[in-house]
Amino acid sequence: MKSNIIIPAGEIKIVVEHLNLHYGNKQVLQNINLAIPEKKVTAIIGPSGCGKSSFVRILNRMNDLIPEARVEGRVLIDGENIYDKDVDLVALRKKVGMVFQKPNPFPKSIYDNIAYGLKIGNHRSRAELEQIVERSLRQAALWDEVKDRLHQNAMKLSGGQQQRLCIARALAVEPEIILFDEPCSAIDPIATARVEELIHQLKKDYTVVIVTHNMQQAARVSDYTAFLWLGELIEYDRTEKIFTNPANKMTEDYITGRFG
Amino acid sequence: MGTVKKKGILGDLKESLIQRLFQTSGLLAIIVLVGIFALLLHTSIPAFREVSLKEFLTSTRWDPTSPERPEYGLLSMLASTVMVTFGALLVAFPVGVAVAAYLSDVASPRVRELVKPVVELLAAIPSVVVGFIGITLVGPLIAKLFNLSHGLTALNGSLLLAIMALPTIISISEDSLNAVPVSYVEASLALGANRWQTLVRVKIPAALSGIIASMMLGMGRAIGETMTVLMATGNARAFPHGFLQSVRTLTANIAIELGEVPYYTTHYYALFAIGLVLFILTFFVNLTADVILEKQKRKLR
Amino acid sequence: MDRVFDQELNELKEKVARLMTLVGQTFNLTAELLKRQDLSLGAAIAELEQKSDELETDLQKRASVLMARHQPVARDLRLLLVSMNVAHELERIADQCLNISQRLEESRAWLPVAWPPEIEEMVSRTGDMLSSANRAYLEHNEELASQTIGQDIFLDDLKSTITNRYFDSINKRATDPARAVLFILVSRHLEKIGDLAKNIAEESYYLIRGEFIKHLRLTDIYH
Repeated sequence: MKSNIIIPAGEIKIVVEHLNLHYGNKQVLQNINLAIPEKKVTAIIGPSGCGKSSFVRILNRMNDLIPEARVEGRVLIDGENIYDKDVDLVALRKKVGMVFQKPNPFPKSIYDNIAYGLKIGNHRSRAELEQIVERSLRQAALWDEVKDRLHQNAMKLSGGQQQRLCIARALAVEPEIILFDEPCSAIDPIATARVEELIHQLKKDYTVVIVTHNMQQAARVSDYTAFLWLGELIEYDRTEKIFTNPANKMTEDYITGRFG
Repeated sequence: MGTVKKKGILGDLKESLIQRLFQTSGLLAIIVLVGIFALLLHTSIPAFREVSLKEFLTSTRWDPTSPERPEYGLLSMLASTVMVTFGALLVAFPVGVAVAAYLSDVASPRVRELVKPVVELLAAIPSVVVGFIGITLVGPLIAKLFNLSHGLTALNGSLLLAIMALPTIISISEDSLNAVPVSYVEASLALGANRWQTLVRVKIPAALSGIIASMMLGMGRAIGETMTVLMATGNARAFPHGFLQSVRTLTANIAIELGEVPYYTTHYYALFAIGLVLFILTFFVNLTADVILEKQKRKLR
Repeated sequence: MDRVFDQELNELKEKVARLMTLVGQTFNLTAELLKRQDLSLGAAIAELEQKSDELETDLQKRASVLMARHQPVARDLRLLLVSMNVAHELERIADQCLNISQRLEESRAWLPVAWPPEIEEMVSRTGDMLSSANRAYLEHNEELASQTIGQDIFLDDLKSTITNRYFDSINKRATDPARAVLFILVSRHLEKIGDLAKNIAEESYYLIRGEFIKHLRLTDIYH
């Protein structure tokens, strides 16, 4: 792989080392090595089926849901290998939140959606819950739109609002890393712009990894960009570099639409 | 280049013919249903020349063959039916939902493929055979356990009906649990919930209306079931005071008496009136279940 | 909605403003140099010119990154394109100032006691055009943009006057030829600065109205 950047050790949040992922006999990711910086937005781009979604699901072990998935290599978050045997999945997923492709609020009230992650964890007082719900909705720039109807069913919100609700829900459990798996593929351009602005705000406090098939989106929101192709990391660099002067011809062909 | 114009008059005819055919067969089902209802209604009405509706619905005494004063009160039998049915659900519902949850969430695909057909096969056991089991196995067991002279009690009927309602409850509950979008499960797990919490807090609430519908359908099955209760509950006419008594349900009563009753007597008509009550009962239970299921489908779409 | 892109565009605009200040200072120093014929100012002019070169390079890089990352359209696109062009024109104005300073340096042996009045007028007109063009860009002032464009014709006339007169005087050997050439050259540089200021005004007009007015005749604009 061609990684031309050296991120200072103190600023690295996630390190992926010699990562291989197989689904049954099919190898989905091949020897991925990269370091993801803290409190920055890192975008994963590449054509459909390049393994970018699978890659991001490695980071909170969502691939564990797939029985035939097999992971080799190490993924260190804050220096701890999350594929060690003694890893607490619940703690891991609280630390590494995720927002999915399609907005997926639970068929519950707005309030209960946000409070869900808190209720399954430690018991908290009602006042505390209310406070966290408000804070999370404010962080997701949704508070003003829903503050008067917190107990309405979340399914009644628009697609874009639902996606911001899902972001608020992820924020409520106070993660350190937030994974976005093509968060804007099911919402309209205006809602997309809002989510992108939100991602800009989030990187002040969180490490963000976003998978997107929309490379303009990667260009707009990210600080670092990784280009995956057929399960291989082709290039990883500062976004400015990737989108003005990529080192690899394949990257350039892909981002300029000359691929294939 | 293909034409998009119609292929002459014959094509039109064929299409309308097929449409008619389907329309008719759909209509037929409704006609049969309405026909049965009309027949029941028509045959029950003469009963009320001699019996008041009030007596029929509120009296606990059923003694149509009494030489002095025949009595036609179905309340004891209605109570028995309700009791046996709810007893059955009390057992079948938790067990059914637990099995459904196990199949949808815990079992490996292999186990699921093995268990599901077995559960569905349970529905294929003839009710007579279930009755046998009641008489020879479950009944004596109850007698022994509670120190009774015989085990042909409401409890026996409930347990057997539970077995019979289980396949419906399991398969419809499992379908509803499986219809819960994967995205809910992923969202829950990604928030740090474990599988158990995801099942209890997300999947079951999302599938709840389907699960309730499965219970209603199971209930419909239990209310209408005849042979098993006839064989297993002892058929005592008295008003039931507990699960360890013999009871006679509405269905069992019709089955027992219809064979011996002289035609076109009040007794004969009264039995049809009981049938009408059963019909209305099961109709509404099933209708409610359908409405709930439809609602769930719309919610999860 | 507040966009991060707006903030980035504002930063770019601030960079252009800073370049304008820098180039304005360079021009003022050059005017000072012409007025006082104090050749010691040359060093400062060279230094400012170099600074504006660096700032322009930085600005162009930044603008290309914004292009690549935001794929701007409509007024965002115009602001980016115009800022890049304006920066380029500004840098060339600084070049012209340096050129004037170098001409004077080369001519230090025969500097005039006084400049022809046309050159003095050109200095003042060019300075005015430059500052009004800059304001047209910064304040989105369409009026100022058109005005600035209209001013250019006077500079052309002044330059022609100087050129004709001093070619004549060379022929007639009425003026020291070296000094005559200096006048002609300085007038050309000043006229060039005026041209570039006019370009900035035209770019600003495009920024505001979305219409290209470059290379049109004055009559096309005012009719």
